[in-house]
Amino acid sequence: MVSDFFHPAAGGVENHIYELSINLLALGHRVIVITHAYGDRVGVRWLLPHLKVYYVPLLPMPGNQVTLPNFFTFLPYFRSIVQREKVEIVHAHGALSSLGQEGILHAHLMGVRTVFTDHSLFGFDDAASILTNKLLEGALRCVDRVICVSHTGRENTVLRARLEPHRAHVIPNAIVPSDFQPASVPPPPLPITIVVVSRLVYRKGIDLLISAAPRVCAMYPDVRFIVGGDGSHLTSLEQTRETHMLQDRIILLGRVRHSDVRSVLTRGHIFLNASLTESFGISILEAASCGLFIVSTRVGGVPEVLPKELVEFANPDSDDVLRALGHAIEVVRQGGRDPHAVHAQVKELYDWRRVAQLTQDVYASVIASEPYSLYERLVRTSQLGLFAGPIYAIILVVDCFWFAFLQWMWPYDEELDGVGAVWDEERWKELAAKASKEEGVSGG
Amino acid sequence: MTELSVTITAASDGPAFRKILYGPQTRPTNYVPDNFLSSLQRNVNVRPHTYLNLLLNALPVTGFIAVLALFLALFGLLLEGTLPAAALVLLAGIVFVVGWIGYEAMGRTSQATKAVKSAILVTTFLLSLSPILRTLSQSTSSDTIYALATFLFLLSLLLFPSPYKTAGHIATTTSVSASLVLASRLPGSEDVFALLLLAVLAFSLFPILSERLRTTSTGPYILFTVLLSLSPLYAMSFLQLGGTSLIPAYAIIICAVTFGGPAALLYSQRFKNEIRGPWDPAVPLIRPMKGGL
Repeated sequence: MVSDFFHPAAGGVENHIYELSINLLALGHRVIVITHAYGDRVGVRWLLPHLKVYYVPLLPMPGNQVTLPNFFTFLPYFRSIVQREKVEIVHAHGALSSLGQEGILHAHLMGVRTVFTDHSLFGFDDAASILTNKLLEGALRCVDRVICVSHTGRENTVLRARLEPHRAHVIPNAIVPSDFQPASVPPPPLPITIVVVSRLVYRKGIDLLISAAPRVCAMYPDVRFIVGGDGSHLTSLEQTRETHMLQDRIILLGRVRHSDVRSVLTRGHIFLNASLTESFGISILEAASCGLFIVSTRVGGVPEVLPKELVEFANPDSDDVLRALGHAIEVVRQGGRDPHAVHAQVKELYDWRRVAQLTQDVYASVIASEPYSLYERLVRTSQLGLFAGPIYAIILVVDCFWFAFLQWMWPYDEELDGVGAVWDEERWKELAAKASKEEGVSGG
Repeated sequence: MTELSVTITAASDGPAFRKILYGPQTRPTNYVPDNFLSSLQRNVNVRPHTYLNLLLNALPVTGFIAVLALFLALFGLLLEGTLPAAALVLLAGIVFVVGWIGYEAMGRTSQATKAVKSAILVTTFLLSLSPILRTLSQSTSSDTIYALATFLFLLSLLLFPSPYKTAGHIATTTSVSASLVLASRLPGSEDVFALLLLAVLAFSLFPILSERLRTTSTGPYILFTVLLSLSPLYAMSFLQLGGTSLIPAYAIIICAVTFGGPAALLYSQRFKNEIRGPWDPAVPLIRPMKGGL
């Protein structure tokens, strides 16, 4: 697994990599994570249960967490890690992670196969999208397989990177159901509580919330809002609350840690997701798992995520959000919804183990397929475009020489450098059992 | 669930493919359905341009270049001494009066006294300052002066057709400063006065007049621009030095801008490929609150 996005940063991609890794470990694979250094967190760290993480000493650009795309400085580190760990497949995550893209570009030098997971949707009509789409296309020109988290995301990625559609797989995200259980004591039926947990920024549709919330409060006197999250729109939300004297009915919690999300969700009956673009919409899945009724805008991959009976969709229009919230309030008023039944249903639908199995199938198909030869790579790369083609072809060739130089300068010595000791789950269990027995003996 | 799946295609084997992520998946994860990318829309918001329309929209640029060329030609004539300063001042006065009458005729602002007042003010101001302005950058070498003037004029050319008001103001400022630098090459104070008077007319008053003419009547505007773009040719024909090479160069530039530019834009339309689909960020529709709240 290679990505700029990993623990200690928090977010959807970070969480996805961690959950996927530990479930692949459980299936008996060896998984290591490569990411860039976070502050003084450099070197090899272990995460529970037994996930090895390499923090490569490349510094990210200030302001965001992504390393500068420079195509070559990562190779010395990457070569050592791949050779020592005897990596077979490089799995990069995140379209904006240059570390991941570079991993894909370098992998063929070591005879390693590549898989890429795209987590986000991008448009086609602004300068930033045009640039990142071209970078993505360059990186994915010779990738073996791509995984997308929704059908809409897949269509988007296929278009952006001009991929052959059959190379793109759809494997949804999942959640850890036990982390998102409904409250053991259900929240009191009144006031009906609408929960919003999201970053308070334009892309999350907070303008829709700002417009709809006072009107909902005016129409339904027994409804209140709980808003968790922080962002640029927090101030305007506060202003709206003040203008309409709704301080006691719109509760702003500020930033909520991911581990506290459940405790916020379980205080409510309805979850509102007003996002304007969403590849998958993990937040609505988390909320549904907690037994809440979902109101969501019909954008991106969101309509694919949940069965109709759990969600009320709205167009990104303040009037329609109001209508959908009204419908949800009626549903909640009628009662009869069992949060635990909903939880069981969601638990049935989404499971990291299934995600890991599907990913494992993709890996198997990658290993079974024939890799591109260097000549094929060169031809495919030069077809990128009038300008990007030659640039990427030069990068590819220079990369090969750079690799040859590294091989000559620091030859790989299996005996000296190879990772001999790997985590043995069985042995650990054995030792743990023995230790606890001994402790039992000495304690008794 | 019909609203979620785009179209339910009857597949030859197994149940129809639906665009959902939950429920039993019988297909391989890289199954390409028949309706793959069916919700992709191409060029939905594209409004094709017509050549005539583009020609009309290119005319302001043509006008500005023509005025610039005329200004530079008159500067050359002043520098060579072919055109006496008094004649240029007289010409500027006539153009100002005619232009002002035309402007009033189109819009009736009826602020005659104010206009006369500010005209007198600007004229006396320039008249009294022209000796100082002449010597202001006299010690700078001609190379620097011409390079600087070229740069400033190009900058104003870049900024002038901008729809943003501030950029238009900057264009005026840069072209007047360019004329100010050029003025230092002129032999006498009266030449400097004539040139700066011309600069005020050409770069600050002319754009206002031309814009009003463009928005009120299309026919006369086209005629006006055509005549204007021919006038530098007449002025250049009197130049002793370089006139013969300047005329074809100017003719080529003005033709390329007027006819070539729109044609290139029209041609590039065929490469237009605007892609829209469900992955685009939605634009939130915020409706104002209804009364009674």
